[in-house]
Amino acid sequence: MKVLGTALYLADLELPGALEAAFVRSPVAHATFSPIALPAGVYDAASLGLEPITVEGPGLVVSRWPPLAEGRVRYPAEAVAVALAADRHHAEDLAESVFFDYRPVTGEPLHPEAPDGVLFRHHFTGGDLTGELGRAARVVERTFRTARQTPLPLENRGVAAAPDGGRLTVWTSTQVPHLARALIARCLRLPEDAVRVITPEVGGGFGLKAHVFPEEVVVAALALKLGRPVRWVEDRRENLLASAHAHEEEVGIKLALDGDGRFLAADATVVADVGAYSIFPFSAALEPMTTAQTLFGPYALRAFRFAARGVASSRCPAGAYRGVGMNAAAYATERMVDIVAAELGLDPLELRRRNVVAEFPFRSAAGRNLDSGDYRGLLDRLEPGYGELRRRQASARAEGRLVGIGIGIFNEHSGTGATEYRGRGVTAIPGNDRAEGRLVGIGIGIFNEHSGTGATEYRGRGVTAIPGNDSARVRVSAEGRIEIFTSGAEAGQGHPETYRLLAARELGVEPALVDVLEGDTDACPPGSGTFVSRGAVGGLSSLVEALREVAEMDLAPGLDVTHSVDPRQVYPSGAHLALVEVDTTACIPRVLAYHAVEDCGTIVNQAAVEDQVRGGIAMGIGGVLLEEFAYGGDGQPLSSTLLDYLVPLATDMPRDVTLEHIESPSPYTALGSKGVGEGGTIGAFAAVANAVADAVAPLGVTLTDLPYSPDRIFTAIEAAQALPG
Amino acid sequence: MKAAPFAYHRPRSLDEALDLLAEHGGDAKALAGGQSLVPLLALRLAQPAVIVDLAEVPELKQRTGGRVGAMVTNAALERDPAGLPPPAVAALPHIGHFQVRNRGTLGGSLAHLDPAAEWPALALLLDARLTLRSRDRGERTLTPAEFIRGPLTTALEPDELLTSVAFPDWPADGRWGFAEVARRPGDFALAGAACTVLDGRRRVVVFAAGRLPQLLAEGDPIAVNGDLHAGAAYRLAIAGRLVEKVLAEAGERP
Amino acid sequence: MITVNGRPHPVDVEPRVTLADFLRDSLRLTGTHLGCEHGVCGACTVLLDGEAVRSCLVFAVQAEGHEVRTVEGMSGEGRPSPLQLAFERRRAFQCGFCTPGFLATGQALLDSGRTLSRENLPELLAGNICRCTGYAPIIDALLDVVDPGR
Repeated sequence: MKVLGTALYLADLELPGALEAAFVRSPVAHATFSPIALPAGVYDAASLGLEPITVEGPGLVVSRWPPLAEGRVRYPAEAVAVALAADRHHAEDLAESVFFDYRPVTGEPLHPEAPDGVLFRHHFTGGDLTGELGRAARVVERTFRTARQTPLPLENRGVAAAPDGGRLTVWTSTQVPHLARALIARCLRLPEDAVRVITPEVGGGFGLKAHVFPEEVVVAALALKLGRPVRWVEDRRENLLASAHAHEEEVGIKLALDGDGRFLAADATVVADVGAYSIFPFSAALEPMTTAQTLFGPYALRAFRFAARGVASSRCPAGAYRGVGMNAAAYATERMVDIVAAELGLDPLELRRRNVVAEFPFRSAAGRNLDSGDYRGLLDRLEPGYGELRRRQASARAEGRLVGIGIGIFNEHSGTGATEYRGRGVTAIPGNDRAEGRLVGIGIGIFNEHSGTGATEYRGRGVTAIPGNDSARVRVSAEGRIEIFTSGAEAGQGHPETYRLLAARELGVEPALVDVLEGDTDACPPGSGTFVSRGAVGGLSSLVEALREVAEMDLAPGLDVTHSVDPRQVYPSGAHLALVEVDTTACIPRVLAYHAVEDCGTIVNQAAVEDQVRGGIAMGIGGVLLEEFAYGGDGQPLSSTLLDYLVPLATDMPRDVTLEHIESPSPYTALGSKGVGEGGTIGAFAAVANAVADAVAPLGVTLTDLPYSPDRIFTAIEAAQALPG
Repeated sequence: MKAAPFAYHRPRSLDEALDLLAEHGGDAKALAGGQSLVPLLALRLAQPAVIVDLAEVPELKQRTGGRVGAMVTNAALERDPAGLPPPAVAALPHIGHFQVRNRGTLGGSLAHLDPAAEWPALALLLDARLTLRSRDRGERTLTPAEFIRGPLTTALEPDELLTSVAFPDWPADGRWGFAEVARRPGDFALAGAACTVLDGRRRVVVFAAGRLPQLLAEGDPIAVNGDLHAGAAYRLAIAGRLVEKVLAEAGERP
Repeated sequence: MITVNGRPHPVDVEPRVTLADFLRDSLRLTGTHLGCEHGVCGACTVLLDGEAVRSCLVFAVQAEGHEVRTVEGMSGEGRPSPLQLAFERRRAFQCGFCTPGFLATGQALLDSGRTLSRENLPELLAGNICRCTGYAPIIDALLDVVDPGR
């Protein structure tokens, strides 16, 4: 039990005889090196002979990522070798004694397959963009930048492996147990059923742990090679430098409007810095596509075009972080809407009301099939609070204080399914072809989001490694206990509680009679894991189907049914309102009040929904005001401790947070639920940013680059005040 | 992040501690509260062969009037600030978090000399006297300007310990101000300023803005340094505003 | 000897082993977690002679002759403490990794006799990081113990 301190995370597991690992990591960004004679207990790429990590798909250049570097390192802290000892202290001593001669490389592309450094590119056009631009009464252009960040769950990564008969058991702090099994088996050249993956208690994921990493492959290989258990517990420095980064994007938008402030069309370029390798399983396509496809998501555009690129750099590979590219999309879109409102002299809430999608289902110009929603209803719920905040702002401004109000309205996709992935050239894992209950689900998820998409769905992304389905198995024991096994893997979202609630409802049993297991690939039916908020989409749909079958069979002891759902992407939405003050002495922004209206479809467990929204908002506040991973001019990482990389503390949260709910059930999920793990963050990226911008707008400042740190706010104010007139 | 190996000693007297430092010299580091040193050890940025733990050296915990032993914790000073001048009392809650203040010491902070820390700036502002002692050369007393050599660098020789800090008496009609700004409470300040007005004479210190805490004479430019958290221009502007703020505070306080 | 949750234990580890690692590895009290090992996140917070400290910044040998209380020592006679119960009721945790550290910090604040309020708690809790909850439920849990009638 977590409050008793008895929950067992990866580092807590008893593994008798286990060796502890410490990685030897590159001190430089891009360099070649030669093999050296290694001391006993240290292993390099040659001693393990592993297949590289690769991800394929349309638009992608395949980057070849050896789990331990082979003669070349491409980012600082990349794993080069691994040292084993009886405990981590001695493993670090051993690792410290190993020196490779790195010969820095300059002027050479990181990957010969991508001579221009572009690992992913995609274009899309929908509607008559040229025509709409021609008809426009006004065209507004801006470029926005979001900062490199990292999910920073409080529990670092960790993996242990042990041989077990002819098989290999791997414990890993992961959100994707079946994908971990698949990649580990592939890189070790084993059949998948020779590998069993078990997740212990996971201390936060937020997308970080929805990837499968070189370290997991290496530890599994070591256990196999040495015939004994091996464990690696990541430390925070490694987690900051070498796990996964995210969110570093430049979004250029050209928005065409008519004379009444109606948005006609948008033309966007999205460039994401994706780091040194295409990360598994989401690839270099994730962020540029989730951003590009989500731009202007809640708005009824007549035409839309985007050009999206994922560009390599000598930095930590980028992947999923709660909200993924949807944060940048909501941020850029909503900042743009406020900028337009200011130019037109219109109230920002009114401008949004004029332009949001009003009828559902709706096929957007970006090609997204919005299943259900009530965007005007979201705005209506904000209206009273908005009026009150404008009054508070007026009196604060009268005192000379810089107080701003920001609105963010967004929709997102959740639950990307097999059909979606296949449509994009994704290769599904065989055996999950059940067609019934195919649920369209791509909600722009808050949740360990992957395969970022923008306005268009995952089409053209071609992430080959994600099966796309979600499954649930329900067993009735001889004593009448209900046992639930799912393909999900929570990291604190409270899946067991929600599943018990559902089982009680569908079966009429006491929740105490229900046992839940996730994260054991031997017992749990295969699926995609937990990210892109799919838990409430394919996850709950497959569980409901299985429970209903069990109910139909009168809960007969011995029943063992499994249902797999190929979800259709669905679209949660939310509208957030933030009140921010920027202090006039040191330009420090503080969120004073927050109002979130969210629509995640049918609510199954309201307390869990609110948990996610609150936590999501906190991360969005961090994303806008605090979180930034910095590299120096020499390519060296600067944010190597938690005093460098800042995350929100209790003092960063607004005192007043009001949460409201609207339910627009999705027609495509069994219960109408859509997922809510990421909306809090996506909405906050928009609302908090707009509030800061609104706070300093009277000084003639336009803010476009995140994070809105005190220094950036100050610099923008100084620049605006220095302008003539 | 595990420290490299070291030999550990926990002397029971000042003489014993100084013996150890004389014997091991540059291979030894004194351990006070550990809030600054232990992270460096964990990151392997420091790898002393010998650690001399000062926790059980009673002489270093003594307090008499304005003289405070080097091993007195910030928390102890918060609980009982007797003998501390008001600017120091005002600064205490800004030092890290209460958990850090439970362990962190006055002497440890001064010996570590982080440029953004409050104690070096306060010592400079209050013109404290720092007493150093070694086995072979005995005691010497330095002014803050003599003690502060550079960022993370003091006048302490490898065989020396800072044993106590003496603050001058605070006159009843003394006035003062203290202000710092940080992005989050407990973070190192982005800029800080403090002042005293004693016998009509004004004394101003700026800290966290530049390489070192700076005693600012009339007309002096504020020396600034940019880093990850804030650029030089920001620090210059904000430090300037804080100087005005603390002077205004000093003007208002009786 | 170091007294941990009321029981004495010899400290038979290298001096460089932190109190956190000693508790976790030698005593198998794994409730105290390592989130950063450089004294910022607070996940490793324990009570040392009743004071909340970061156990990753104390070497085990330093704690010889002292008393340590960890999350495992907060339930008396198998009953969770009022604070632990309040955390459950208020959903003051999700992934649970920061929870033992917050319980130690919270218990220290409750034991200190200091007045705790919605106004001062955020700053008093600023030495502990939570990535999941947004902090409000943790503050609510503490206020429940301060004022059980509320």
